[in-house]
Amino acid sequence: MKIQEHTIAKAFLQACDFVINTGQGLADHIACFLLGDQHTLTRYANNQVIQNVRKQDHTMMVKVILSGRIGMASCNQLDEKTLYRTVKQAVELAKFAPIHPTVAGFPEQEIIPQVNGCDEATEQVTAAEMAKMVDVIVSNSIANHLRAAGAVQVQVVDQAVANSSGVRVYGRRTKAEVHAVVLGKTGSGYASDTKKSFYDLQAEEVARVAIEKCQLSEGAIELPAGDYPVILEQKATAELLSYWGVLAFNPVTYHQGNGFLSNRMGYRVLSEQLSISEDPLGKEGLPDGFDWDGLPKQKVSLIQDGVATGMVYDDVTGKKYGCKSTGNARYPLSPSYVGISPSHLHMEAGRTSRADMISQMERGILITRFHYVGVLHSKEILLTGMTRGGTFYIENGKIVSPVKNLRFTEKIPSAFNHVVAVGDQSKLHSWTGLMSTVKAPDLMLSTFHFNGAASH
Amino acid sequence: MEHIAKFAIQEAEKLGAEYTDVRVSQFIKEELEIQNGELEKLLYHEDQGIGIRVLVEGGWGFVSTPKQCEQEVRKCIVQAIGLAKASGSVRQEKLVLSPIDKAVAEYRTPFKRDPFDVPLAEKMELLEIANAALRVQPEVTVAKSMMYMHREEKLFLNSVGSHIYQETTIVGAGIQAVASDGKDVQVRSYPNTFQGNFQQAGYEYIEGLGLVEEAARVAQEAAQLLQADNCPEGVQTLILHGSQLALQIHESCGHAVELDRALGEESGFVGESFLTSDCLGHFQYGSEMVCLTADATTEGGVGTYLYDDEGIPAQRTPLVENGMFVGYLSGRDTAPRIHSESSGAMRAVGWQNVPIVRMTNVHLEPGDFTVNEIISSTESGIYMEGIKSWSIDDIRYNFQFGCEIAWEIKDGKRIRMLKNPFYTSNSPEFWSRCDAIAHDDWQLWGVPNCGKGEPYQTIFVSHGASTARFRQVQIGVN
Repeated sequence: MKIQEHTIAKAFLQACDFVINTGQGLADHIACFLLGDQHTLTRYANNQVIQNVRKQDHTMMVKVILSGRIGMASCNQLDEKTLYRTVKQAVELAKFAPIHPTVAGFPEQEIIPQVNGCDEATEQVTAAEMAKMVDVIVSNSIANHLRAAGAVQVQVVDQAVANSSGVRVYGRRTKAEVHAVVLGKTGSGYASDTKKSFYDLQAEEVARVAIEKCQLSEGAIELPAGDYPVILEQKATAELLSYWGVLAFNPVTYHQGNGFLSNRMGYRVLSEQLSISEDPLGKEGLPDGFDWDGLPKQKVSLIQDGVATGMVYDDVTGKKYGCKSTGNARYPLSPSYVGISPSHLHMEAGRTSRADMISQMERGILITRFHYVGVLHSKEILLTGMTRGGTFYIENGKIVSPVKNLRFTEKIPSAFNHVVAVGDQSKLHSWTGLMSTVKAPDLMLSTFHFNGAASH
Repeated sequence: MEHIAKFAIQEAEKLGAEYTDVRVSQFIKEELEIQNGELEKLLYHEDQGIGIRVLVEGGWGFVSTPKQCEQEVRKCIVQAIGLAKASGSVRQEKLVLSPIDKAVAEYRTPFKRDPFDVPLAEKMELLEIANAALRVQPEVTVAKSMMYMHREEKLFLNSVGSHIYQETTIVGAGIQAVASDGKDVQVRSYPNTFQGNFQQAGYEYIEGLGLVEEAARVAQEAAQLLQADNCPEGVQTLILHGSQLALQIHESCGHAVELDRALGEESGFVGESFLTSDCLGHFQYGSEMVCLTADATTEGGVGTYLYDDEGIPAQRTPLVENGMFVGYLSGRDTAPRIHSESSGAMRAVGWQNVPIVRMTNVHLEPGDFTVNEIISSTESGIYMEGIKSWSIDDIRYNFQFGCEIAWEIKDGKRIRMLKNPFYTSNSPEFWSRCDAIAHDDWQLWGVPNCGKGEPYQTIFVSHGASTARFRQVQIGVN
């Protein structure tokens, strides 16, 4: 079945058509953005399910331009009466808005790349199947006298964008995720898996890795603060990379001179072993064909062999700064502090296996993931955060001891300039509720600054 | 609202639910933002829907939908019962709930001026004038002025016969200046970092914030920070303004006393708590002058209500009394596990989400000092103000916070401005070093972005805080 023939697709496009037709008599330009979200989540802790939720909603947002003034209104009922009222509300708001000196119309239609972001079987996953997946992790943990916590979740997202300049697009995407935190007397281990299809999730492997890390974490020693060589596992790399993406590739701060890459485009800014791209079309991720302007998404080289090569834009920032949109318009109801940034970051894999990284390390720390990362200085990309879910001390090429969680404070450009080796496999990561992804390999860094330790 | 809620309760009972609660709500909000004199956001939003929670065979199931017809609600109840049965299939302990009484009540936020009746032109004018005042300072590259208001009308019904209607109105506003000289970027915000400050009130609260009056100072401080010295490292006396202390309370106390965290139920996501249940009544959390309270009845608090989203009355719960840890925030399914009853702290964001243990309004009670007395009695130290950065470990123990601005204190006086200040410690050690709390600048700080749970819920909470002093704190990165 073609995606446009889907019942929800028909209903969404019909609602969009009604909004655009209604608005064309009331405003100079009109656009609408419709997001449907079905989220089913089975949450477990202490080896039992503690919460089982299925939530669904759809939000229609209408944006109008009237004599250079912009108004926006949104609702979550798709009947014609409510949609008409919402269009009128946007028009009324626009009448009171200040004239926007640079406002243009909405973008015109472009050819959207054909991607398949939806796994139809995943839409039909049952509560019993999700509980069964939880049971795989819980049973394995109980057998090892450990306690497990985490979630299994499935998300189905419908997205439609239309405007009075001819854009009319619809897409459906699925995401399935399982994660486990396994806890012992003092140790803990983490593992996760993210896929387009629920049926591709590797729950047994997630359980095995989390349990193994937990068992290895028992009896952690405290390491003094200081600079250490580190191996960042894929999840840890992905977390730093996601902050790097948001802070370095925001086109507004970049052009205002407030970003790390301001005046550095074309120069080498990271280790030449690193290449990073915006890769929304990759089949192994959660492919996405268009953005919230309804414009095509595309692969964008951001860092090539350490050299800054590109930036991402939506239609508005593209026009403002004389560049073409790269298909990175954000969801229009996002908080205003969420700027334009890459949505599908991909750091290319290298050639070194994790085992080889460990064996090559004379002395250093292996980090599974980070927790609660905060930004201390946005232009310098100075971050702080804790390690979590398995931190280990390496000596003479072997893991010799678990380590109590450490606090790092580090400039990420500096860390990414001290790359010794890049892992041979990139892994997909995504955060709860979001359809954006980061695909990242392990990284071996010659130095990373830790300035404190936790009690556990 | 009422018809569909009653229908849901009856249908769930027919289909075998042992307990059901239903929330039907309508939500409206308005957001305005001016950036560098241009409109960044002018948005009106409305949504409505129903959230149904059932208990079947020892497990919870929750389903929400925006469609409020009987056919859809019946389908949702079948789904919720399926979820509940699946929950019960992976369970090691019997679910025990603390008692609940039938309640019939109504609550409305008191206000003088309905924010949704204020002409849009008046709101825009206030933001435009404040924005222009920020831009007078040439170093300011980004000037923001923001305003927010929402109203939620919520009807709660449950299968024990409760009928609770609550109408909550929250407003907020703020300004922010980002200054840059090409090499450095510095930020100042007023009244606080997260889009200003928020209260449960009418438009009169926004009018009283003095955004226009404060704009010149905010812009000037952002510009001055570019030339300021970096905050020196070292172990020193730290004085925190309420704007930052609110976040300190939030992260190191508010989240740490959530009973679901302490019992391990959040370990799969945000983490647990160093305040485990064996600490209750035995653990010295801070110095004797530290008294922390969760109060869901505080006038104007953005975490204030009459009943929580399980139908339990709002309460004032001592958390730390004279430094001793004495209380948790809890709900009906967590409280019995410490042989207690719910503290009425189960909250859900909108009709879409399931209620979980949340902060309400968590306050540091005012002390005996004035701000002047605290500063004038400090020989040497650092005074910090405004939230910039926050990070705390998964048991709410080790933390590091950065502030927007600092001043060096010498011989009881502020002598020079400092930039990029941050401090690090662990929660009990930090609070044990508190030796002075002011009373004359105690106020409510409304936080709009407290995140927790999966699916992630972002909720409003308040913190009452004033200026306070802490001895021997690590400033900067060691």
